[in-house]
Amino acid sequence: MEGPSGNRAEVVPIPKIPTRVRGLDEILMGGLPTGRITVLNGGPGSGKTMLVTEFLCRGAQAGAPGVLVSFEERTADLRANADSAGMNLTELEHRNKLKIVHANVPHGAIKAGDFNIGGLISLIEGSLQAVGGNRIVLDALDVLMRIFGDPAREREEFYTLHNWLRDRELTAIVTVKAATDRQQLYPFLDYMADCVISLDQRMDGEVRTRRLSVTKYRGSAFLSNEYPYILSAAGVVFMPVSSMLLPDIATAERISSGDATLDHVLGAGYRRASCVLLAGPSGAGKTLFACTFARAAGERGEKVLYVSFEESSSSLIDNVLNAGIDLRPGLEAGTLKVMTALPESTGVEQHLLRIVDAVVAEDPAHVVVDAISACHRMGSTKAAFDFLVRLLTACKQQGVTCLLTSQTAQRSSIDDLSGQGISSLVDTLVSLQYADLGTGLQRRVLVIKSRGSHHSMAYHDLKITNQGFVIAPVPVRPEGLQGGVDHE
Amino acid sequence: MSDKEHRINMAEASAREAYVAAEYSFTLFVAGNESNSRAARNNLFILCESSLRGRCRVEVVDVLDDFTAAVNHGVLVTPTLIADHDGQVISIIGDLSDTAGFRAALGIQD
Repeated sequence: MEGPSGNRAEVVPIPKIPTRVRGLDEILMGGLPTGRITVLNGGPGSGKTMLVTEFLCRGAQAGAPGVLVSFEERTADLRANADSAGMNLTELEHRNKLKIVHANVPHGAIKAGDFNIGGLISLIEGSLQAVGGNRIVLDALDVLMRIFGDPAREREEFYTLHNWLRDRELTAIVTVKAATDRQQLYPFLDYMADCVISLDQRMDGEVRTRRLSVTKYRGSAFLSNEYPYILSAAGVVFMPVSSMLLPDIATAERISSGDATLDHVLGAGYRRASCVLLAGPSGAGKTLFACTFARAAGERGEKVLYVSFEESSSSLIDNVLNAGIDLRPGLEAGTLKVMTALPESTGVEQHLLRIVDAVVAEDPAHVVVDAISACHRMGSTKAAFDFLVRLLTACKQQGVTCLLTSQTAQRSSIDDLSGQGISSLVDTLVSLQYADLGTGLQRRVLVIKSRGSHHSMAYHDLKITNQGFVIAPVPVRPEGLQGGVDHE
Repeated sequence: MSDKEHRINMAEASAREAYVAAEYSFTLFVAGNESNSRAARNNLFILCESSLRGRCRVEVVDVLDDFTAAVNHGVLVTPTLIADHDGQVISIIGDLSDTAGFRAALGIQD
């Protein structure tokens, strides 16, 4: 911008190296500082080694060789662990793009006087020259520093190393274990380093969750929240940043629910790219509504991804076939893809990644999640809520319709119906329930809300037949009128 | 081999040196002329002269000259002394100023 004096007041962005770790560069607003030192703190099992290995590996694949000096894990273990995350280190080593050194800390050595880390500096220099690189990772440097057995000497040696790395203008990551929960072993390292990243691992309900936060980045902006990540078969993956910018791209375009009467009761069917929630007690017909929608979409040639948390693909298909909805043609034509998952099997992040990956890979027009009430079993209520918000955000960004089912108790308030507190994200809320007529139960459907639609505000009787469900087009008469209910 | 072997001399103790005999075989890794490294060279020389005359071989490796040595031997701290005494290998780190500890580790009586 031109100032009044005519001088340019520009902020010169510092040079950065992309980590190429999925989602991390967005948090770091470009990557790690070039020619500077980044400290990565974290407890055991938080994924420090995986993260730095991936940084070097992706960099090497993109033509920037690097060296990993490991003070803890052996090279064979590092290779095997990287292999399980889809990174072939051996191949990069053969091409001389990567060098992995297991630095055997001489714990057993006899100490006879003072010493310093001249050997390490030589080892780094020699290894970098061998590959012709300037990226260095020192993994678990605390293991080496401990042999000094004296905090003052450790600190001196950290400064020596820091100064040497800076003089050489190397891009370095130093990983250090967190001493105890959220406590750093070497607090002065955070002052020394240009960028400080902390990894944290905790139990959320029954499920392990991992979070990253950036606590310092000299000369650069960064996203300052905690970001969940998982260690997957495709490396470290950071979850999409949730719902800061929710594009409201639910269009005015209408799509059929699969049933003409239901379309009429809804106003004119569902809206494309909106979020629909079908709530009700067990057996009320939620899955049948969802499958009716899926079948109709398939007949229009639109693809549906059906995520079933409740039953296997074959039992889902058999059950709705008994009620007259045949999903098999859709499966054969590829317009229907059923994904099953046990909510308890993995944590929220793993489920989310699997589904979001499937949404990207399959590119469906619509996603069905049956049932979101199962999400509670992935961990805590908060975890379930996070999962849904992030899934809905990801779907909205892709313009995908979300049809969710949620199992509720028989008599539920509207808040309970909207399930996990996501009511503001739900565009259309349909309640399926049983009415006690004294002589028996009558299924009923009520559209509680449907944004932008002139929908029926009344209860409609519902029957489930072997030809699908049947909704009475005429509303149920008010309760006070005895014998007025049409429930043939 | 014999042209590489010569008596150690204080004045030229900075590079690679070797003793003729081999009851004790020492490899001392140093980092240039840094004080701990200088002290270790001196202390090792004094030990060899005083107690092991004619019974040891010494090689001094400067890791700042020879990067591959540190890589190949996995030397992280300097000075590091690798001592081979009749096939038994021990490593001693530090400037060897702890003479008593150093001698005890090598099993050398005064």
